[in-house]
Amino acid sequence: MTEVTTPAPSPVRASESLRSEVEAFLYLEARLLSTAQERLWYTQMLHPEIRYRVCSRQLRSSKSKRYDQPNEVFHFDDDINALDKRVDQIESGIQWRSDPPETLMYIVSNVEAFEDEQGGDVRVYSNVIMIRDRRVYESDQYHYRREDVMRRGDDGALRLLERNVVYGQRMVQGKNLLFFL
Amino acid sequence: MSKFETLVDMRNGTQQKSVFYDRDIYELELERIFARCWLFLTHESAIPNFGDFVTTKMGEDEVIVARQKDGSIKAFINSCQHRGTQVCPAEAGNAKGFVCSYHGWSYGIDGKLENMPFEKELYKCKVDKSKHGLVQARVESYHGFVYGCFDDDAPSLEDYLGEMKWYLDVWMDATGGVELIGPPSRSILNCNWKTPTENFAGDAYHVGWTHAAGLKVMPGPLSVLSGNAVLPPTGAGLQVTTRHGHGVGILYDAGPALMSDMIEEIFAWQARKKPVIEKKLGALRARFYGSHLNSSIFPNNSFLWGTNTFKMWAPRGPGQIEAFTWAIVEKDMPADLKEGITRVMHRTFGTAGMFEADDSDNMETMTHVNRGFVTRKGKMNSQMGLGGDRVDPDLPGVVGDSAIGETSYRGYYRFYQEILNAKTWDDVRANNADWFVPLLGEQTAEEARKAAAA
Repeated sequence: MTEVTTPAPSPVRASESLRSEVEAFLYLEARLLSTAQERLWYTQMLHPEIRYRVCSRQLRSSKSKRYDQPNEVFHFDDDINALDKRVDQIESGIQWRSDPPETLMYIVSNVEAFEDEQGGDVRVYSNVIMIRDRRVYESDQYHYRREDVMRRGDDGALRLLERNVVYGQRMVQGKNLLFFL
Repeated sequence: MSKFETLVDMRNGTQQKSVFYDRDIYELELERIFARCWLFLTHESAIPNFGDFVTTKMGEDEVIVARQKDGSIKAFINSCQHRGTQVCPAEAGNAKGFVCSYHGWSYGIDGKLENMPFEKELYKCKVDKSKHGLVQARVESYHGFVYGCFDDDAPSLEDYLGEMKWYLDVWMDATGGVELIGPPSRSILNCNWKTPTENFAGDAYHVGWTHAAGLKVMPGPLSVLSGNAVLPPTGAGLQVTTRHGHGVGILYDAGPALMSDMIEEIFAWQARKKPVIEKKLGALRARFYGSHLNSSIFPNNSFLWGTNTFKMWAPRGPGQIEAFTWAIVEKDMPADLKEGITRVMHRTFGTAGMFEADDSDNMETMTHVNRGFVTRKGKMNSQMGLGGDRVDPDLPGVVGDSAIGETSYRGYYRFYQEILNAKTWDDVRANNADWFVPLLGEQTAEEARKAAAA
């Protein structure tokens, strides 16, 4: 398994205009995902070579060096086709669990952007609190750290090339992660 | 007769709804099921070396499972013998022993108490360290799958698995062996622990309807079932239930049908290995290898062979569980195939699984609507195929002749009631000769006895 690492920040902090562009990207994404516009998100915001991963780490002692079994479980490890299927499922009209519709709210914060010295990609860090209200009695909160890479498409607009979500809550309290983080 | 003795009508295939809700029933389950039956702990491949350990749950009891110097495996309760603190907060690792974080009592990798700080200076009374080790459970393995049991009187793991071994051997052994890819995903579901277990034991009925959306958008051999558009044809599969409540449902030749972009690769792998298995086990069981199996080992351990998910549902009160999910892979698969199966298994039956989440909604509501006093006075129905179950000369256990039916539900709850009623394992053993009678009816059971005698 590939490690999801926290890379050292590139020394090149993005310009204020790039930082605002990135922030606007994340806010637009949050709005599309919380207003049942997943297909628009998919077609207009994702890079065709996207790798979308959500990872939890097994809790181990920092002194335990002699145990070499994998310590990461990937709740998502999706490419563009797998994400397409997930959007299809939401749009199918026969996914009983999402009708009546859920209400999602993403709060995106701590946005930092760095320019990649090599390829013109932008490395973006953010923290997210997502609250999912569904059915009459259910309200669940999910909180996680994102490490994204964005790349410009042919039209010059930023697109999501990598999403690595570090999901710290070892035992997922909100029963599932069946939404886009 | 206590209120616990009539929770299940074995003959008619019904159960009281209160089994998903009642706190008194739950406490009895902890005592008579979880402190008495064999419970899944880990796979040997997760703790290959001396000092390797994982922590897990046996019922609500937290346990440490550790590899010993002589290669054996021990399991003991993760609670200090001094004031009861957890002695190991990690989920896995390699250790020489465990030191309690409260006062520093330390235990060896075998669970024995080794040291108490300032023992000579402070303990005026003599504390016998040999009597203050961590509380041990029995540990036995079957083809690398490690189970624990708190009851010295319980049968061996092999006897407990019983006829089920004949079905397990196909994928656990004849393949050349399997391993579980961890770490497990862990999530909370607000449902009774029996709701997923009964479903995995014996519910092919829900697949077309509950998972209509997933089947529709994930192209594969089972997509035609979406929305109950068609029934699997006659002879498409069968269901089996066994002595201690374990059940398996077989959908012939469907194998990795739900494995998304890995379907072709897995089918190709199976096609190459099938002749080897046929040579070992014959054509019938070689067919199981390429089929989809849904199954539960009583009380709370489930798997899907084909979709390659392995589950343990740890109870947390009558209305909540923790779901543990591992991927099953064959040992001799190349690394990229193991990784692909793991990836796709989590995509379908993991915490963000496109099929798993459909099920959890059903399991949660069938638990919590029983808050209603009148609601939980009602009964649940598992009568599909009732009257048609039989004993087969070639297939161990009690068999239902259809891919879709509720034979394994009836068998699961038959044993559930039996072990709740039993004061000790001797009461269970007393039924060994005739356990299947309530499932078959007297007449069929008599025929079965004659067939067995002949």
